[in-house]
Amino acid sequence: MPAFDLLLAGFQEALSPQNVLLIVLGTTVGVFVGAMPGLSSAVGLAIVLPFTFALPPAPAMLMMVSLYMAAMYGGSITAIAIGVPGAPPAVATTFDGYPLAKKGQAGLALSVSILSSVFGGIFGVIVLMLAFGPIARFALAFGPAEYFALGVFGLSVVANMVAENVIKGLISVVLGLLIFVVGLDVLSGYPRFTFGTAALLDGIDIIPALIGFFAIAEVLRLLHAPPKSVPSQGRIATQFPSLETLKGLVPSLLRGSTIGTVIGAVPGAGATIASLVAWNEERRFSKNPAEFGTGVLAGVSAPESANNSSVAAAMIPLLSLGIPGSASTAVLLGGLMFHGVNPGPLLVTEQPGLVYTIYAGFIVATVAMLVVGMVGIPLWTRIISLRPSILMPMVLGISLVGSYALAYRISDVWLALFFGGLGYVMLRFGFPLVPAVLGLVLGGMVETNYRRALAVSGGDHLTFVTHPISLVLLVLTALSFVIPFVRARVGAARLRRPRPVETPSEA
Amino acid sequence: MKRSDIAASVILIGLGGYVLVATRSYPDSLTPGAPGPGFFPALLAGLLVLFALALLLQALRSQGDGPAPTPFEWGPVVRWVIVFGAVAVFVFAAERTDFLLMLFPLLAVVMAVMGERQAKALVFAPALFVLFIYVVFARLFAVPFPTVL
Repeated sequence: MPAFDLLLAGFQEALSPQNVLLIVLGTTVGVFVGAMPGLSSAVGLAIVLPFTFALPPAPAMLMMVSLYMAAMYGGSITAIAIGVPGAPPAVATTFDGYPLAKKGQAGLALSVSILSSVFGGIFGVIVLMLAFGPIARFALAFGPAEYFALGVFGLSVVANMVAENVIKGLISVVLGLLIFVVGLDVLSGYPRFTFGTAALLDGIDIIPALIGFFAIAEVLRLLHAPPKSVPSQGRIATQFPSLETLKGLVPSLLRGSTIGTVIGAVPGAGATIASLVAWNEERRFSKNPAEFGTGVLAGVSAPESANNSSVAAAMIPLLSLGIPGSASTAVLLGGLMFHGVNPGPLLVTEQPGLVYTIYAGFIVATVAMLVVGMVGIPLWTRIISLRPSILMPMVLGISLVGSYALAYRISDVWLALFFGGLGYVMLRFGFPLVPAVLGLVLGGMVETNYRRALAVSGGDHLTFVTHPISLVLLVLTALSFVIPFVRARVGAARLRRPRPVETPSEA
Repeated sequence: MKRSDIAASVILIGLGGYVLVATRSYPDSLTPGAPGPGFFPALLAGLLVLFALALLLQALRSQGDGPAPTPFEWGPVVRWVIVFGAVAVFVFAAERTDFLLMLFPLLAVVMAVMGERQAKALVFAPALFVLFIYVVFARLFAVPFPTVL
């Protein structure tokens, strides 16, 4: 079937009454979790995942991608209204959004934020549609050696970029991979680290682990320093920007969306880095850079378009290669796997209907975000005052119910609790959770392909460097460790070098 | 010297050592050239020990670096133990009694530990939540929760 017909069929599916309802629900929950400090898109996805168990794959994915998309916008509500980002990707929005609110232009800033989010979202989806096919076709040539190298590359980039301390990032990856090996070995059928427990023979189910790591660990973490209630905001009325203002923002929207798409497609980089880079680049491009930080609209439009375009861009490696690059896409991958969908180069040929429904769903979700965001501006600024002492126990409750609802097994609830405790301890010791989760998710891909490649080559490890694509990926993996190290050394050497004395003429 | 990193390194080296010892009894692969079921975990355990040693070295070398350690507070630890313990009791009791009914006291306890002091909220919020879960999961999704009713 031609791509246009598939897209049309995707829109028909996404626009069915049931799916529109799910998209609006996902969008509403997304804006909420994005806006509430302490919650994030990953936590939101983890607690919504159990609600999708009873749904077919396409509606389940539509609900989840609409939540993911809307959470990016949601973060800007608190960033603008009170100067506290609801989620990390909205940090850059506080720089100009909050000063605008202090000038009495919160309504205008929120309108620009939602319009920029819609622009960035649609931009990202167009790039996703254009990039998915070629990348998937390229990946069809991959054998076990290439898949092993791809898995190692994905894990190393995430360990490098997510962690403040690279060693801790690497340890986190290894811990995730070690959790994966629990259960029957897929190639030999030998039980590994099951301790005689039948429940562990099938291995660690990824969904209770995701719920534990992202939702329960977050609740336990907040017990150390419970977040304060957001003070109730006065009524903030919707204030539309003029057509002239919008025209002036188009270059910043294009720049922000492009930056968001490029950075979002790199595993580990994500929406937070994308929005910070977009804000900084916008300031560099501006004729009046000194005005940035004092309340300019371009300082809101650039990061907001960037973080939303990064959402669809993050789906490129997830759908075409099966590599999630962030906590949120790891949960999405968990959802896909639960529904029997295996992302990768064959997805578009095996399930083209689902792929095009996801494309269409993204576009419908951006429209839903526009409506829910615009209509809800006065409402959202009040809802964010909900007390964390009420909200967080409900997150815990949904997590426990969701773990049980997965397969009606109480052992899954114990598993979620175990991972909640483990995630909390890891956070307390400064180990990032995302690399561990990706290690758990990608463990199968890395181990199985490693062993298959060796079986095919008769045990020759050189097979990983004699395949050109595998070699390139392994070189890139090595560079991902060497470059930050060299950069840090060069930076330190520059700081140590004595500065030349400035002469009056040079000054 | 970061004490938490030293403690973490020691625990991780112990874990890596355990995995290395455990995988020694795993059988070899029947496919020539292909590693057996113990090879990958042993490789990971080796990497874990290596990285943990690097972390230990880093922690020992960073003597005096970084901010001064914050004084230990019992409050968060007590809150953590109460919540984690309450959830463990809930999971244990939910299987033997009634999953949804047991949620009510659990949520009330967690709300109180998180600082909720309004009696109305402590009663109505868990009750409404349990009702919501009953309608959505038990009725709509037909999830068979353990029950005594």
